[in-house]
Order: sequence, then C-alpha cells, then structure tokens
Amino acid sequence: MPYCVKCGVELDNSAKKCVLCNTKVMMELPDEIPPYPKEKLEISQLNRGYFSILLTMILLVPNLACLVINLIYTPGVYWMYYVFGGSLLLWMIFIFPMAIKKKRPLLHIFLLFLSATLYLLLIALALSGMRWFLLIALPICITVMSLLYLIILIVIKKKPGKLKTVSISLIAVIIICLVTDGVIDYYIYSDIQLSWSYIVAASIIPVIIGLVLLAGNKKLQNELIKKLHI
Amino acid sequence: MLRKIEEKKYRHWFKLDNAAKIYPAANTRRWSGMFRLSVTLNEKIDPVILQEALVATIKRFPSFNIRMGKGIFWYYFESNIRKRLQVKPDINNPCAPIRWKDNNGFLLRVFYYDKRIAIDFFHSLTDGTGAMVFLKTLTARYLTLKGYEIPTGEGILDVEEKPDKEEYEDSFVKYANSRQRGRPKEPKAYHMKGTGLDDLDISIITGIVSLEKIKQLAKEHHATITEYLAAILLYSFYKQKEKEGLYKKPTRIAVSIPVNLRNYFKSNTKRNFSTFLNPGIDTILGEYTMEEMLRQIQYFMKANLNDKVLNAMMTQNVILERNLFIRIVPLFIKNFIMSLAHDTIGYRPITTVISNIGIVTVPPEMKELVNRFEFILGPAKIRTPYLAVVSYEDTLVLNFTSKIQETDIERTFFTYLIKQGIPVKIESNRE
Ligand SMILES: [Zn+2]
Repeated sequence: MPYCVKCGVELDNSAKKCVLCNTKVMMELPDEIPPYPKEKLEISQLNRGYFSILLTMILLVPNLACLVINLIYTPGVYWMYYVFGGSLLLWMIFIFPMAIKKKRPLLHIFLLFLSATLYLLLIALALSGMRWFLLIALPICITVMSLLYLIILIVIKKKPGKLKTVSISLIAVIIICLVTDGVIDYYIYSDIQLSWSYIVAASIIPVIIGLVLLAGNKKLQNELIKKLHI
Repeated sequence: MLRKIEEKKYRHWFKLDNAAKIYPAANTRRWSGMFRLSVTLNEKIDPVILQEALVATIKRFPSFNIRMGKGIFWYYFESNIRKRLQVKPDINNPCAPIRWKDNNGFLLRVFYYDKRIAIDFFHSLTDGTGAMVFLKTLTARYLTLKGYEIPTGEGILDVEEKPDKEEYEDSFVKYANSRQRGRPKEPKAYHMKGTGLDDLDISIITGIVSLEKIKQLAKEHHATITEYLAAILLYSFYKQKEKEGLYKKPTRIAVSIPVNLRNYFKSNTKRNFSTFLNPGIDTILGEYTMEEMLRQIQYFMKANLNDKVLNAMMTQNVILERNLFIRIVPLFIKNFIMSLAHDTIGYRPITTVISNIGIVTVPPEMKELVNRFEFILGPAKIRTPYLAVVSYEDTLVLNFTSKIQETDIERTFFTYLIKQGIPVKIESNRE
C-alpha cells in the first residue's frame, strides 16, 4: 500500500500522487480500479430551440398586425418596412444566438451586419433616400462590421491580454471616427476634409501607446493595481 | 399531505416541506442542492438485479416516487408512477446539478460502480436520515434478490408493506408552535479564498479512519464525535484564516452543523426534518488553541440542542411560509427572491458545514456483505469545502466536497488526525 511521504496518509492503490500535497507516489503498482470512474454527468441544456421558436412567434404577431393595418388603412404607403426591419434586427440580436447550439460570433456579426444594412436600406427605400444610404450608411456599416470581425478574430486566435484587447478596440474606434468623418464630408461637400476625427485620434493615440507600454511591463501593472485597487 | 393515494384516476401530489422549498428556487444550471449516500458491498454489483430491486423499493417510498411540478404560487411534488427510474453507471462528478425534465423527472439518481451502489438525492426530497432508510431498504432488497436472507428492521423497510401516513408527513408543520421565533442574530462569517473548478467538476477527498480510535480520542477530550470533528474542521479553517489574516474582517469562523430534529421531536417522516446550528469563534478576540475551539463548540451545542430552542428556529421558517402576503406572490418572483436570499443571506453566517449522520446499523445477516457506507454533501455555491461524515462498524468515512482546486483545508484536517496517531487512508475522484 502506498503512503504519502509528506502527509503520512495512506493512499489508494490506484493513486498516482497524493491529492493533499501533489507528491508523486514512488511505488510501482499494478493498475487497480480507481474510486471513481472518469465519465462525467453532462447536464442537459435548456430547450433553446423550443424557446426561440416561441419568441419568434411572439415577434411575428405585431408584424402581421402591422401588415394588415398597413394594407387596409394606408395602401400605397409602405411604413411596414420599419416594423419588419426592426423586428428582423431584434431577432438577429437576441433570438438567433439562442437558436444556434454553438456560439458562433463571426457568423453572428455577419448576419447582424446584413440585417442592419437591410433595415437601413428599407428605411432608405421608404424615404427615397438612396443617396445617404449609399454614401453614409453602407460605408459605416461595412467598416464597423469588418473591424468587429477583425477584433473577434484576433481575440479568438491570438488571445491578447485585456490591455491589448482594449488597445485594438481603441484603434478600431479611431478608424470608425475617421470613416464617419470622411463619408459625411463627402456627402455634404463631395470632398474629403477630415476635421473632428483628428481630435479624437489625437486624444486616443497617447492612451493606446500608454496601454501598449503598460501591457509589456508586469511590474508597473502590479504597482498600479496595488495603488489603485478599490 | 398526500391526496388520493388509492385512487389511480388522480395523480396524487403534495406540498414541499418547509426545508425543501429553498432548493428548487436556488437551483441553477451549475448548482443543485444535492447529497449522496452510497454503500460498498463485498461483491460486484449486478445492474440488472439492482434495477429490479429499485423498482420494488421506490414504490414503498411515495415521497421519493415523484417529480417536480410548477404551480402558480409554489412548486409541488407529483407522483411519477408511470415513469421508470433507471440505474446508471456511476459518474466522476457526484451531486451534479439536476434538471426537472432529466432522469424521467425523478429527483434522485441511482448509480452502480464496481462494488458500490450510490444514490444522489435532491435535498427537497429528504434529509440524510430519510435517505439512509431508502438506501438501506434498496440494498437489503438487492441482497434478497441475490439470494441472501435479509430481515427487515434496523431502518430497513418491508417493500411489500403499505407506506404509513406518518412516513411522508411534513413534521415541521406538525411541531413548529413556539412563541419565540427565529435564532439569535449571527454575524457575517469568514469565507475562504480559492480557485474555482470547471462548472461540471467537483472535488471529492475521502478520508477513511477507524471509528474506535476517533471515539477514543473524542472521549479523551470529553466530546462527542461530531463536536470533536467539528473542532478539527474549525481548526483547519482557523489555520487558513491565519494565512489570509487573522484580524482581517469578517473575523468570525463558524461551522454549520445540521441537527436531526427526529431526536428531539417524535417523528417517523422520511422527508426533511432537520435544522442546523452554527457554532464558531471570533478571531478578533485573539488567538485560539484547538482545545479552546472545541470548548466553544461544545458550549454552543449544549446551550442550543434542546427542543425549545430548536422549535423556535423552525417556527420562524414555518411562520414565513404561512404568511398570506408571501403565499400570494407568484412563483417566479418567489424564485427570484429566494435564490437571491440563498446565495447571500444563506451563506452569510457560515464558513463551512460538517454533517454527521452517525453510525449506520444493519441486521447481522447483512454485516458480512457490506464493507462500508459513505456520505457526500453536494458542494457549496461559495468556494469552500464541506465535510460529510458517516460510520459503519469500525469504518468512519470523512468526505470533503468542494468546487475549488486548493486542498489546504483537507490537508490540515487529515494531517492533524495523523499527528494524533490516527492512520488515515485517502481516496479521491481527482486526477
Ligand atoms: Zn501528501
């Protein structure tokens, strides 16, 4: 029978080490039946499929009601677009992640982008404002989507620390500001003259540099946590 | 109350007893109020015969043969006779969370592994005493089917017999009648720090010692076994607190000890009928020796272990559930409030739990067929090890359960016993 030399307790014949202190068992023993099997009981998940169908039905009710009202009272004027597009967006944000089994953030982002763009397109159609859709909404949507896509990809693949993730996100904020500034300029003046986005960028860049430096310095981090902890 | 037990047209149903009500509310995907009793025989378990024994046994226990139902205001238990409770191969994570729909709706799970029969009970069903009767009856039935002659008695029920009404009564309602309500206010207790395990994992560290030797040691200190083991547990947490700062608030270290109310009120119920006392020390007063901790526990137990104080404690809870304003609150709101209360107020006055279900006896015919009994408490929602104790013949089994990686408490506890000259054998489900 094996004993732990540190704790003095007797161990099970199947034990490879002492659970109390992690000391390895030196004795060579034939394999024995361990006290517990390896298999774990998995807990069944909430019936998500059923739940998401239920919520979808609930969401469908106002849509159908609005469609009927729209067709009867204001034929020709299709304000139904707003309700439908909004519902689609809601569905994508809340119900879609519930309906799928595995977490798939990249697919979710892409579908969110599609539905958000579609919603804006519907509004643009209803207001006959294709120009602002093409010049402002679409570029901003594409930028936000691709940046989010990129950040999630980096976080999943490279697993940067908290500080680096914040830095990357801040860079994304700068890019979004620049693009927004640019497309608005182009929409109004048909010419790109960046203005306020410079100020945003100038104030954020030092923060990013600070964070990157801090991320590389464990000692400084420790010091800051010590002095600033709440 | 069990309604219409004879009439098959209606499914009979009954209310959850006072102690049972908190567990479904506090139930989550990661945590259920569970505990496990198991018996290790001297021969390998035959699952087919065990299944047969289980079918016969569960019929004898109407308060176990049930599933959870949801009313507008309260949960209820509903008879589950049309479904079958299936025995399964044992698992690495005893006391894993339970869902109402799983396991054919049953709130207990029966496992077999090598020579062991193990049952995980949802705490709403029963307490350790009621569960032990079930395990012993199942084991006796199993052995009978294997061809041994096992008499009833010694906490083994005759499965052919009709259940007596007293066996599934709500004894809280019957006995709670004190004019004094509640317990003295208890200060916030220290909770140790630890690194959590994965959601599915549970750490079980078992220590097996000689009952005779522990009895002797406790006797030398003029203490009962429970008091003595509680003192060592308190000592282990005291040592942990020393590392984290003895004077760091909160400074109270309290060990919660479940009390079987059947010893103080005449009851034969197989459902919940226990409460708990929380003795402890306050390190703001200074350093304590092991002996001083033991005395603190003993004084506290002596002062509070009597029917009057215990009645006041249970009356408090029964009065609450009788309150009309509480009763008419819809279930989902009750659930929200009760789960919040469980997670905060519930753990506030306690550092850990030690539960001792005492010495298990079996008829002489069963003695040479049974190797040992084991008792495992489900892990705490907070990060702390719990200790469960049960004895059989000369084997006293100490089971620590937790959801943390560190094993400091267990190590202090068992090495203390070693230093007292008591050999300890360790088993675990950990890699
Ligand atoms: Zn060791």
